Amino acid sequence: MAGFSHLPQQMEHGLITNNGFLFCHGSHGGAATTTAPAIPEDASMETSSVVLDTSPQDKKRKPREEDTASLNSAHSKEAKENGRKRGGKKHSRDQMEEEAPQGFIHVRARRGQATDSHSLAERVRRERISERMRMLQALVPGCDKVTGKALILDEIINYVQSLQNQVEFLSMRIASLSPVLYGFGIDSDAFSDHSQKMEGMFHEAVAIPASVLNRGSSPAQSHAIMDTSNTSPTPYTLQVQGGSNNNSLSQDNGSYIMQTVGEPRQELFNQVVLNNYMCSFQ
Amino acid sequence: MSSRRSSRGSISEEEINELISKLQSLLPNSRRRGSSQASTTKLLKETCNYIKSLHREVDDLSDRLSDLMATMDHNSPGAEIIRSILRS
Amino acid sequence: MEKSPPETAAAAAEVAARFRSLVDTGDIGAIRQTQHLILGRLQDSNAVLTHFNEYSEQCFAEVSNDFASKTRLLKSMKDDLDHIFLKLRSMKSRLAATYPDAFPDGAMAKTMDQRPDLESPLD
Repeated sequence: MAGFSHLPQQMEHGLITNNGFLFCHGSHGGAATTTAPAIPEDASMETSSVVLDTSPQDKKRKPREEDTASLNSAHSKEAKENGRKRGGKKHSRDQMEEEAPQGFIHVRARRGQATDSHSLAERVRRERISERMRMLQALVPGCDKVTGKALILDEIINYVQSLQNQVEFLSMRIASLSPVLYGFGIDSDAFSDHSQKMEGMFHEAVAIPASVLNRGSSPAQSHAIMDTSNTSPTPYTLQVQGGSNNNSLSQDNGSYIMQTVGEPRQELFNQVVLNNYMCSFQ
Repeated sequence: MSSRRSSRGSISEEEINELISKLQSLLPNSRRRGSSQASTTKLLKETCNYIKSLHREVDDLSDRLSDLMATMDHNSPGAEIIRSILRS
Repeated sequence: MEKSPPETAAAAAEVAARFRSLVDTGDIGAIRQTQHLILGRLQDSNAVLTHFNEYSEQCFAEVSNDFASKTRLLKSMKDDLDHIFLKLRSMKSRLAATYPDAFPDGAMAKTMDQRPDLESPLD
């Protein structure tokens, strides 16, 4: 303890937060200051003033409290801590119940408060939620060890999003393969859904014209479009007619894509290159 | 002890509600449901069903993709087109 | 593998030629040039970041030992102080129990505390 007198102020402040009550003892009772002369007087005054600033309302009641505490400091300290803990528990009871419903149900039942119908209904509801959470924990990989409702929900959200991304990716892979192979439109309904997802995401440079041509059209129409695309140099004008079956949103998207595909081709391919680079970094 | 309690108490009701609403937004047809607080049990049940359906969908799509990859070996006009493009 | 009929091969070649006509060779060259430019810049950035990572690692290795020893020292100091204050508290309670008149009710507080009461308004 040679370096006690050279303690930095931060350390003293930390002690205040840990033993604030003790320093109040020292400033008022004087026992601590007389028995510990190593603490500088001005420093203790500073720290006491800090305590004063943090808890001004308690100041008036402190003399009585300190006297009673000085008589039975250990016991009263324990009692006050228990009182504070109980008060804190009461304040954060709702939060605790949401986090650990099983344990708290037992506690409340022991106190004899969970006998009315409201508490029973609440208990049933929480048990049902816990059951569902356990079912979900079984479904989500890496979620078995996790405790706490918020963490479980977070894992579930991440897993659902990853599954959705997986479905989308697989759909895009299939959509990029099937139109060229199957001569357009084996499953037109599903394909139109998948190709709508492909809008704005040109991963297959070769498949761009085919997917754009085939978007949202029935097999017969797509065959006709394919036939005309062999002869006419501008097959994209037919897309407007073919897209009339879709809703207005897809029409708007279709016209936008036509604009980007038709004229600034270099810009489009530059975007494809940049997209690929960005995807490789993610 | 106190630090452990405070760290547990920091997970508030608002955070739980926020997570539940986020989860609700992920599910299909979520806008038709009532408030998230009233139907947390139903939401969790729907999530369970939705995850199972996503599992089935992923399996179906994977099988379909495998079939498509297998059929690429066959002779067809489309495969010929791709071969012509790759040949040049 | 079986050979496909000549008609299909001819049609496939025609479609392939059409596909190829969609892309301009000059555009491809420009794309390749831009890609090389991007790659060069990314490689430069990567080199800079790698150097910075190595420098940070070296600096951390220098100070981590100091941090660890200082943290241990502070922890031991806190333990010592906690022990001291515990003894002080027990001594005070023993004194109050042995000599009850040494701490009369509130008298010590009034004489020792000379600070102004911030709660009361200024007269």
